[in-house]
Amino acid sequence: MIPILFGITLISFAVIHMAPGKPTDLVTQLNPKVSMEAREKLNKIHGLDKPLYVQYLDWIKKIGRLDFGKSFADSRPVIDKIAERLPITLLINVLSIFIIFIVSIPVGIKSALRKGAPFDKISTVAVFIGFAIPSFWLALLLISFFGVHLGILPVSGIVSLDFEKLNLLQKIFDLSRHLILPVFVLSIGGIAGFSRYMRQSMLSVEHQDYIRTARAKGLPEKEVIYRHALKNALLPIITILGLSIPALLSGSVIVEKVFSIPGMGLLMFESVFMRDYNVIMGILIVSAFLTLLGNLLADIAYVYADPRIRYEK
Amino acid sequence: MLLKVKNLTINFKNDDGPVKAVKGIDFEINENEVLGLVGESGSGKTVTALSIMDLLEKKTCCVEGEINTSFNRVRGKNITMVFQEPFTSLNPVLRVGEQVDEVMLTHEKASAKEARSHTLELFRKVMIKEPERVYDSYPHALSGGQRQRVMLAMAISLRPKLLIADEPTTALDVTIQKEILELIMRLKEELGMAVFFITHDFDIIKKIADRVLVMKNGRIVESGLRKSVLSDPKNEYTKKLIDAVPSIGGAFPGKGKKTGEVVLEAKDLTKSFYLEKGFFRKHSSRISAVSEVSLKIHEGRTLGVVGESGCGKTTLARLLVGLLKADKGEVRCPEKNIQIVFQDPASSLDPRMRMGDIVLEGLTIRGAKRREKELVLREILFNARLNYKDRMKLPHEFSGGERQRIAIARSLAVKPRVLILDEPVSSLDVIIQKEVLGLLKDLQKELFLTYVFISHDLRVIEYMSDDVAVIENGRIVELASREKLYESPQHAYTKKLLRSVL
Repeated sequence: MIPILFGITLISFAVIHMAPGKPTDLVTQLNPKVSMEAREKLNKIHGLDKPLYVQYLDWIKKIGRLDFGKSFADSRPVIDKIAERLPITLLINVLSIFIIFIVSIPVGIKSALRKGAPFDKISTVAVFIGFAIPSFWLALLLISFFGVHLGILPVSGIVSLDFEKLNLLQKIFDLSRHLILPVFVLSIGGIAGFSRYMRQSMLSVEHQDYIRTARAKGLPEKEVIYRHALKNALLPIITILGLSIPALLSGSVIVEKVFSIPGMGLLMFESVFMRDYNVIMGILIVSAFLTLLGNLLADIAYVYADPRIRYEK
Repeated sequence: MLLKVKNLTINFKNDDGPVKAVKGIDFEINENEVLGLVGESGSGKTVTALSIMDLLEKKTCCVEGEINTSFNRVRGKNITMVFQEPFTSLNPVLRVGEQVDEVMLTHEKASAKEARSHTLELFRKVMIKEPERVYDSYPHALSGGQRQRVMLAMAISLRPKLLIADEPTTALDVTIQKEILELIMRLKEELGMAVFFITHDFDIIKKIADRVLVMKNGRIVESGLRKSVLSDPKNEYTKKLIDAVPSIGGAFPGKGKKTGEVVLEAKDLTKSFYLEKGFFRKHSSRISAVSEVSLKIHEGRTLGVVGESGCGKTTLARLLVGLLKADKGEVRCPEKNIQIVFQDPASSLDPRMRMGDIVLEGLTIRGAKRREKELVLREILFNARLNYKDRMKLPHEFSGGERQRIAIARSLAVKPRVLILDEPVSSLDVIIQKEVLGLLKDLQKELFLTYVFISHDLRVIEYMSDDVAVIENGRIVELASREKLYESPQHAYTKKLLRSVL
């Protein structure tokens, strides 16, 4: 895990610094009054005049001490900025993983068991549409319908302005109302994909010899499906779920921007525009860490679910 | 009469219209008898059994005719089935014990505790050592023989009237095969059940069946008492099936003394495999596949290599051809012209290559001219009894026997002197098996080839070999001429193997 994390930082650092623009541009290049000398002085203060590899080594040394540096934009420590945004992003992502699971697994099972039946055909078309819809467009459409046209759901933010004055129950209700649309938009692609995986996995398990054995034992069909087939069909899903965490995280950049949710994704979006190197790298490290953590959790879950891997002599 | 099948017809719905798998068959199974059903693969044996179990999918098949039983047919309770493939027939993510418990839990509404003690009792009945440990194991931790015992425990759980055994021993090693057959016969006596035994092997029928049905292309071509069918078969196909079964003790002409030069020699070949190579761990366990094997093969002779699965036969074959590199020891092949034929022709031929290209690939990579290749192709296909007209076909358009002949033709294209044959007939039906073996013998004479013939089947080994090496756990335990080995085996393991031949 550590070597992978190291590689990720190296590549991202290089790519970000090679992109045109510098964090100091906002105050220097866009401001005609700033002289050449002042600009170089500013670059020197931030260490931007050194060769790239020296900058990287400096940066990695600080990371070793868990010092993410300061934001170029407002001079606040990067770690604080991320810490206040991360919980919101995590909340949205965990909720959508949950929703993806509880929707796509039953849909996948049902369409596999009734392959070719109307339910299967309808879900196939729905999945097709779910895959094809760009999430920002869907988000805007939903905002205009539920938020503007019907006016029943808030169009932006994570809480209302008067959040502090509400009691606990009202707070939860307010938060949920704000979460409905973003979580829905973030889940829709995952639901489409996972219900397909689940259907495929279930179809391939259904023809295994041990399913025939289960039927030969005279087990009721329900037990054959839910006890014998499902356990095996879920195995590949666990792996795919672990791998899909990066897709969710990158999806939340778009969703948070459209819904103006103050999460890590929005912070990333803003920082990229301001070339706020330290913040970008900080977020990248956190995302990379979360992704690797997700893979690790998936591996552990897999070991737990599949005795063939667990087994050691 | 326990079960009566009347005019049973089974059609599979296919995209190109229905395929008739079973075409109107009638038979009966009596109480407490063993009825054998013999036929080659694709003859409709398994489908017949599945239709009795009512296990065919309604969506894809159409079953007509009557199946009547003298008892109330309840699947899994009084009519049960054991399948061919012990490695895939048990659910990999459930404990073995739980899977057996299910029978009690479903049909008798027993408590979990009752079911468990019943299962342990069954495990003892099918002679599973350490029943408690097996109960808590997952299938992958058990050997093929143990799994098949577990399947049997499941099948006899509620004293069935009829047990259907669909090639239950085909996937097992010979020594275990014999144990399982004896177990089935003992259980039959103890529980007073009838056994419907499906096989392609007349040797098994000889040993256990009371009556026999012979099936071909969905029809029953002959039926009768075992003795009369075996001693006086009426149908041509039955005769062919019985003739094709290789038997031990046949008088095969030997090639006499070793005269030719040594064309392949192995000295102290040793190869180990490592498990679990990780980022931080170099290796946690070592499996020694072949250790200190030395061989010498003279021109024009056949060395048979025999042993059970996992003994290192295939590793040895790969070392000899150079597909694997030995840890220690060396292979000497003066002419460097050695080829290999693998067990499963269905998976060892590239499905997207045309037959002619497959056969000639060895020449193509050596940069042979087109005219030369054309000549070689004609000659080789003639030798391998293949039709030159079929050279543009793809592997799946051929039958299993033809595919193996293609594999042999492919190996011959580069004019090898030594051919390693790794279980070349194990996945073929007896009749085709006989044809391929005959072809190999003819080719050896015509082209003066030297063979290393690897098999688990002592009968085939005897038919093919001049000398035989017996391998156990990666070591040669006995190496002798065929006559000597079969008449007076020296090593205890050789004796055990010979005893388990039916």
